Amino acid sequence: MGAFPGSNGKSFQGIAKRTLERLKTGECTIDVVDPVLGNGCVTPTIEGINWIPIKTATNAAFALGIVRKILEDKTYDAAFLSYPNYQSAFAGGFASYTNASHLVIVDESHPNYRKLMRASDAGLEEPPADPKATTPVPYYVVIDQATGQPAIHTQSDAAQFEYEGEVNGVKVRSSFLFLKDNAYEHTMDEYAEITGTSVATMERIAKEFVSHGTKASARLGFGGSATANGTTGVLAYPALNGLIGSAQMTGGCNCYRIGSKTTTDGDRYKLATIKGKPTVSAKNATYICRTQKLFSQTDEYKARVAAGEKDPKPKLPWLNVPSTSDNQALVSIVNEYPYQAKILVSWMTNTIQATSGALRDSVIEKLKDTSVVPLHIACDAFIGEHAQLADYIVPDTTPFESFGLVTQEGYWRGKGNTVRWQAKQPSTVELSDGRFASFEAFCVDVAKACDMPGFGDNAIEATDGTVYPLNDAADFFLKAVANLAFAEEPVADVSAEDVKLQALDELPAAWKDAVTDEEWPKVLNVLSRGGRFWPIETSQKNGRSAYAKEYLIQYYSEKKALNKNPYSGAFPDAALRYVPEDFCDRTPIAEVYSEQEWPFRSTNYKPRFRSISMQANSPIMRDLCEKNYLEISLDDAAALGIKDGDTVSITNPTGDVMKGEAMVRAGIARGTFGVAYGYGHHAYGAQDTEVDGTLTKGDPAIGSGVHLQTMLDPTLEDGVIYPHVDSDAGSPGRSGGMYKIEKA
Amino acid sequence: MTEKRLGMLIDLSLCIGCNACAVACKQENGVPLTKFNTWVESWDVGTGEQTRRANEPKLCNHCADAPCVKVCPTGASYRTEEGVVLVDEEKCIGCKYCMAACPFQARWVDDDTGEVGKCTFCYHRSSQGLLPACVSTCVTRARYFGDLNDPESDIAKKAAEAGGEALYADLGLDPAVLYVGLSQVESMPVTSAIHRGGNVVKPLEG
Amino acid sequence: MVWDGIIACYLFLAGLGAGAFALAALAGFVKPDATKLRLAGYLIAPIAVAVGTVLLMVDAKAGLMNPLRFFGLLANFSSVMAWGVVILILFMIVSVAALVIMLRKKSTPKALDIVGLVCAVAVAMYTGLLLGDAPGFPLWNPVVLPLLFLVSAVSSGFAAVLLAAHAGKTGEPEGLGFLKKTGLALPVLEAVLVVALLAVTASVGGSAGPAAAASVANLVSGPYAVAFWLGLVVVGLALPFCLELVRAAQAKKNPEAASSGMAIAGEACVLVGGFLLRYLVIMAAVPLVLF
Repeated sequence: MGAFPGSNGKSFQGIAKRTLERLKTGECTIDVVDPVLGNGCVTPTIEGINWIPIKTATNAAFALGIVRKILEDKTYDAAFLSYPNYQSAFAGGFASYTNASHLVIVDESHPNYRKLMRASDAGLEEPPADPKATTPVPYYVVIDQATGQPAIHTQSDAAQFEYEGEVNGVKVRSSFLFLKDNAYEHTMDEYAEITGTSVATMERIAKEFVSHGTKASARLGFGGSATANGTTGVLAYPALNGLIGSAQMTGGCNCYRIGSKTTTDGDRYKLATIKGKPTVSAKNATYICRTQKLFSQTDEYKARVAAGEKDPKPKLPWLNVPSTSDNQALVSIVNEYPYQAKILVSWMTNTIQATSGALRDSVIEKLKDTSVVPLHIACDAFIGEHAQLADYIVPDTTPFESFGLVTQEGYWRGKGNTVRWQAKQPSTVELSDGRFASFEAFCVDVAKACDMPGFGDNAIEATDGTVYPLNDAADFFLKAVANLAFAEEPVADVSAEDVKLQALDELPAAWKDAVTDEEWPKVLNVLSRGGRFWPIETSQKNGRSAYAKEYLIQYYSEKKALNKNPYSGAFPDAALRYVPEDFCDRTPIAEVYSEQEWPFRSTNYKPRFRSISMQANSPIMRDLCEKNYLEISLDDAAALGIKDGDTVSITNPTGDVMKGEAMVRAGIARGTFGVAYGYGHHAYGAQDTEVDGTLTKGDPAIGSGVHLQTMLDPTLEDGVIYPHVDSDAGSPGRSGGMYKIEKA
Repeated sequence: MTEKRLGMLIDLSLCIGCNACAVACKQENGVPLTKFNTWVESWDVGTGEQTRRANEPKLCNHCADAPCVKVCPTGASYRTEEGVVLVDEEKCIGCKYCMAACPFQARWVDDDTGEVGKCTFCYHRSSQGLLPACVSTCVTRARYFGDLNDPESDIAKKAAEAGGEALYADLGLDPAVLYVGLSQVESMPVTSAIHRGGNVVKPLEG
Repeated sequence: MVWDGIIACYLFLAGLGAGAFALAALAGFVKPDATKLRLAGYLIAPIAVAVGTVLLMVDAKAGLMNPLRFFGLLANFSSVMAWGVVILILFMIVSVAALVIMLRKKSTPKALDIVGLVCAVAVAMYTGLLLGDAPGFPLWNPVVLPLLFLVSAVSSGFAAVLLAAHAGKTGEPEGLGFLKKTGLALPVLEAVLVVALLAVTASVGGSAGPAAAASVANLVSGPYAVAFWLGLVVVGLALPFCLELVRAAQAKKNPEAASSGMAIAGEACVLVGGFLLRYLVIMAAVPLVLF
């Protein structure tokens, strides 16, 4: 769901290849639950491949249909659900545990109402504190199966997970029951109706899911979260995996993204330690994107309450679920809340194109206004929609001209890091000292001008105490490669043959100078392989990932439970539940705008021939695909009198109008229209640009296609510009929303 | 000793329509814009939960009985001993007779030079034992390439095991490009426009 | 489309030139003193074919930019185009010779005319064989098309010469009895062959079936329907036939007052039809792949 092998995913190639191989041999089957049938693994001649056209923004309902079936049949792993802590689950052969058995206080009069019960609430004695622990350990309460009595969760090996009653005079319920309630909120027929799928399909998948022990996995990927109820969609996957205990298990929902220490304090260089670094963190500063804090925890709230205001409402919502949010940072900057962005430095980003609903005049005018953003510096290789609004543009290198050590993606269970290194000399302007303009050079020069520690001479400390300078990207990244080359066991020196084949003796001198003579041949070995990858056999141990760590699946999320909405006073559900899309005060959008008038949802999907902000400037990409389409199902098109190739007009309640060419096809679910992102540029080469009096004419072909314009949230105060996003996580509502379609 | 015959086998169950092959070919061979040596056609088949997406890579079929070779008045169009059909640009006058003769419409004319181009099975690579760019880049290994007449080659083994069908077999041109699953895919009802890459070449009727 | 208007012009001019020579030669067999008409024919023939050939070379852009490559044209004789080069060269030699002789002697040797007629037939038909040998376009049937092009060439060539003769008020066409028959028979024959082409194409099966059907539909009811019905059928075939009937009826009543205005109109219509036939055959043909 929200992940379509062969159509998207990181890494696209790896996932596509391994999935198709196994589908072909019949080793596995696949159900691709997606409103859009793109090019991908749903090929026509292999058995066991199904496309389930789900109605957009109903992933949670589909998952709950499956959950309900599993609960009805009691085909969940009851032993697994009974483990109240990681140690007993591990002893039972698993690699995760759930809080299914942890008790929740449901007594409205209790001060800790809606929280998980603690030992103190139950009148139980906590074990002595560990002197080495830096944070206090919470002790939850469960009903031990053997004794039938309340116990601390770390002191029971198996607990009841469907308990309702009192503990210490306090009304409590097991966390699991909250999932059960929500699952039973709708009948299977209702789930089928909501999702546009069938009871038979959900039941089949449910039966299949529980028939392989821990060797089944639910993974709801990125695209599926990009709706205004996206958080609930994503919560579905741990909920499902928790019913069979497959998290971190071999053949189950295995660990991935396992890497070694590279750009941090590694075995050769301490790249994360900077003497004299200012201590700025979430503890003493507030993210401009309003994350990692509840509104009630902010200074603003405290000040307003102290001034006598009852139930103050924030200008923009606060989000305690996500760590950070690009699109919310843009929204904050434009609305100058929670504070003004006096200096905006953006790097390799096109927030305007990438943030649904942001490519509009009201946003652009704000960013152009120096009273809103006094200084805007963009560091970018292209003049995109965002960079063209900056006061200064610092040229940046492209991926072929830069370094990067990233954790490998691709749902691969092994350990390793990929290394990106300059394939060609940068085409940016050459500086007087022989370096080329880039984000790294910019950071170094600004830091040196500001006398900041960690840059210039005496910047990086090796593990043997030697100190090295940091003046350019190579100084940093080659040391990170050295960390990787020496992690655990040093790799071998590069072979002479590899040096010759890849011309590794023709690399810039600065690279060799960045590491020691001992490190250089091993660094070259890693470069020649594009990374370092540990043997796959070492990645699994006794049926679990060898990298499994203590892992909790929450059926009841206290963090969500306490997130009282400052606009309406409503509390969100703590457990997985199907919640239709809402605005930031939790009012369902269908109660604000009529579904009769706005009957369609958008499905914004990953394009084949563009990326979110790039590739429109590639003549080959444009040659392969000139533009995107507004994709409509056969039945919906017939009802609207629209034929394949007609020009159609799509509007949203905010008044945005999008015009494009209709593609009428079977591969779209009903009640939605498919539109690939990455099209409809206003800049990025589509615009005329004048630099130093020289005019470069824009190419309108770069701007071809439709850019999906999502609606603005109308429930905040006048003048606030707030594109419609998820109320918990702030993720963009680029799929879902409300639209109407007409023949133009 | 049977003559070597270079050919390609494309498994339609494995093509995901990613178009990496089309891009790789463009870059390897410097194919001009709007012209393609190889391309992928994609369309929906079936309806409801039986809907699937068909992806069919196309290219020059390097026919043994190639009409394009027969009709070329200057002999610019010719067939090598391994069965690869090539164009000697130095002889081509750009009359385009070969383009009219090809039932697969696999040839194109360079708008600047007037010369006709086409897929060469990356002869500069395949004559040296390397794979053509499209084969080597294919993400799902849907394309096989090699000596059709060598029973030990991967392609011959795959063709023997899975069967290979040629496009327009009734024309009797003896193509060197075979498909696994061709008639199965082509018998399915077409339920969307046909795209070449992402551009419509045949709208959905009715 | 692989080829376009330029090639359609070549096909028209080549056929017209061949037909013009044929009329000059045939007229010489039955009424050698129709010298003005015959001279028109011997003049039009090489000029039309030469202009057409230049158009061919302009369309062959790579050859145009590297003219030495044209010398390679006689390399592959399994190609009808290579044969076409030979045929065109032979025809040009013979028709220029005939022109020169006609200019000097006001008559031509019968042997030369016979050889020239053979070449003219070859020029008229070979393009149909050329198109018919290209399996990419099912509309180009290798049996019907050469015959259709032959008839059209005779028709257009005759019309061009007669137009000149009538415009020049030579009075000579009226002395050629067979023209009354050809004036009626040629449009009918051509119409029959057009129907035959459509019928044969519509019955094509196998892989070429869909494109064949689409080609016929293109002509009969699709984007080329107006050009086909109005341009080719009405203007190119029906109108000349009717005009010829009217002229025949007039001539019966009054042999002396044969209207040359109507004749010229008829000949112009034939020329329009002749061009449109070649144009439609090239442009309306749908490739086997359908796109």
